[in-house]
Amino acid sequence: MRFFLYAGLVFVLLISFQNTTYAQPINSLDEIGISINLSPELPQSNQEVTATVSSSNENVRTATIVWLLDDEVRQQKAGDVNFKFTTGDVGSSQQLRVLIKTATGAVFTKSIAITPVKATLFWEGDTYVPPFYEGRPLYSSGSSIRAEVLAEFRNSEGEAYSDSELIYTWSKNGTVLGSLSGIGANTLLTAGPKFFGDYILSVEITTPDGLQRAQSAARVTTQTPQVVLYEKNPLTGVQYHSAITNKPFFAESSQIEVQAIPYFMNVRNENDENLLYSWAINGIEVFGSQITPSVLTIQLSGDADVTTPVSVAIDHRIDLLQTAQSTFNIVFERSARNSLFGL
Amino acid sequence: MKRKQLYIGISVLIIILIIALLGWAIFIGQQQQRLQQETEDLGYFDSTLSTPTRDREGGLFNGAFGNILNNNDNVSKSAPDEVVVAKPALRQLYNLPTAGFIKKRSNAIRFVDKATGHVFERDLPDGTTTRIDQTTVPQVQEVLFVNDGDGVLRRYIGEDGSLITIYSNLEDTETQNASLPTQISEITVSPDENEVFFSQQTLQGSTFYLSSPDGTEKKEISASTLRGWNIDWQNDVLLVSQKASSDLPGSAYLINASTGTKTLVLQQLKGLSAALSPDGKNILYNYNGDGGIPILAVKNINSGKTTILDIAGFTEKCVWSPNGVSFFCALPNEFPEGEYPDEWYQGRVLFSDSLFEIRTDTKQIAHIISPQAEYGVSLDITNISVNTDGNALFFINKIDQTLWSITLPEEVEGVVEEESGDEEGI
Repeated sequence: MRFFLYAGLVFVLLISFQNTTYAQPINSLDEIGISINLSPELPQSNQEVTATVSSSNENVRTATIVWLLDDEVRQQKAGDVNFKFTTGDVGSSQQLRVLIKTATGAVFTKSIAITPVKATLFWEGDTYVPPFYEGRPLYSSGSSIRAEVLAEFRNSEGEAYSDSELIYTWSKNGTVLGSLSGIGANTLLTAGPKFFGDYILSVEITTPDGLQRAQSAARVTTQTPQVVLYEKNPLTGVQYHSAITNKPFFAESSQIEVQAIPYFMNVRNENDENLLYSWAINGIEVFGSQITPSVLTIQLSGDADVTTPVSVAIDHRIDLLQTAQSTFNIVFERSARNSLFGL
Repeated sequence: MKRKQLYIGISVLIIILIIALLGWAIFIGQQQQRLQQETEDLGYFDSTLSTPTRDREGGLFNGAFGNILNNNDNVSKSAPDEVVVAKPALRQLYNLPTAGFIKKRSNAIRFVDKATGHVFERDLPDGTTTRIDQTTVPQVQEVLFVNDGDGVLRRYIGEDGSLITIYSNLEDTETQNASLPTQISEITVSPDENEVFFSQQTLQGSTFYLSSPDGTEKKEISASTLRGWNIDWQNDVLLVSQKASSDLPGSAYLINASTGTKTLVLQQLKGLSAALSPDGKNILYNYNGDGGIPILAVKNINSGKTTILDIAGFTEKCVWSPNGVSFFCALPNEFPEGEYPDEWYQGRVLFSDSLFEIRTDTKQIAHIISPQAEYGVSLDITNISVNTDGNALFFINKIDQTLWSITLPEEVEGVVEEESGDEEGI
């Protein structure tokens, strides 16, 4: 059936020209240099793909080009070297074929099989964020990267490959991480970019028979650590929902506790022994608790209304590039302190 | 003669004074009437009302909206023969920080006081509030209810900084509280509220488990080298998505609770945050568009069709309507300069929202209420949920963590003004 279809197409191509020339037999002519390139090169499932035909020897842009997808003519136009289509689901297979009739009357064909797969790289920084924080931990200089890839491959019988069957090749900026790659190596814990740089982390996944391939990549960027300050309320705890910002903070009593949170630093908790806290009130150095240096208790003496700057700097004792600082103004008003809940 | 003129003059003066006094009394009366009218229409009073009062209609914790309970109160006062427009009713249900709540199948709402961990139940029609459980769990950070509020999971930070989750059976006070594993970073309840799905942080990363609400019958589903995951469970569909950050692409997948098989559904979208529709067939998500502003979109899981809604908003501020076609969203009135969602998550930015209903099929958007403009109250709406009738919404205001509700009015039929030829009102 396929033979009759191609023969019919060739006949149509032949009679579409007035000059009668001898049609060359249909054959796959890699030796002529016909090639089909896909963009993206490794298409995933349900993805729009652009196929481009080219030849090193023939000027295909003057030829009549017919594109077929699974034996169905999808496009027929002179000089149209590009063809857009959408891949199928994971595990499906599509046959893409191109027929070319040159101005000289020669006919060439080339076909490729497309088996879409799906793969995505996930990554995050191995850094500190407070409990119940809804955002992602980001990478800061000196920390590590946690990464894993989720890939969906199916064999010819439609059965999914498990993670342990697939072959993973990890790369940083194109340099293969041989010791971290291999069969079933779908996760990665590795050093992040140096200083404040970035790199491309990529992974190529192949089936054991090498017939299916997928790739996924991500740019790993460096984030400067941040210190965010919160009031530590004696009843409800740290007010993570509402940070103390650069706007004046009004204290409701003569004593408040301020909690400093070192976002994205290479520590396990906010009072990690590798963190050095430097607090200052009105430029004068003060100290938090020895056990909880991330917390500063501010007690006002006297009845006067007071506005005073409070600052904190956090330094990592080992990863010297991990530093953060913050300053805010705290306002003590007599009327607030004399309220029902003031001291 | 002179005396007679004097008497006449004094009389005229007295009459003038009387007229002036009368006029002043009428003016003051009008002012008071207007003030009373405005006050009734507002429905919201100063939230610094710190002393609960039993004098208000509706019980101890009746917020200042408590008197807006009847449909009549939702209707603006108007003269006869005018078109009557019903307005949504905004109500503060609890004026202290709340850790979580559930709208029960009966017309009541259960919630947990953040400071003490005590469980309260408020009857919505009459506003009476009773304490259901007085187990003290100080500084509760998060709460989930199960079994229609008959069980509660209270989550807090231990003295050593560990994440602690305890389960209490509120119907059987003799049963001791049960402790689930520590270091549970995310937990969600099954649609039938009889199971929980959670991720537990480990040295290697995190592990996903299914268990009963009290932590028994625990079954490992999957493991990951990453720790920053969000999870959602609707119908029989489990969605796992990366925690969001403004400039970083995120992805999400479905996980089969029986086999652990994963299926990618969303890939490499900056600032991605996703949530399932109640039927588990659609995903509402937001990603960062140009300028780093989150844009809402909907994807059908089966067909893969994606509808970009071109509306700036966060998935966390939205809830699907029971009709499955539309959803309610609290959309920020403005986005101050910043990185989203990170700065919002960190509490460095707080929003003032307006509430809308958005249809996914027609992309029509209907305004419901703007608390800041209409009542002068700023609400950064989170933990939003809707009742089964789709006519009442409940949420926590992130600014002060108080508990609120918005009751949508029933359509009210107005009277036609024959003279003016106005259309019949709704």
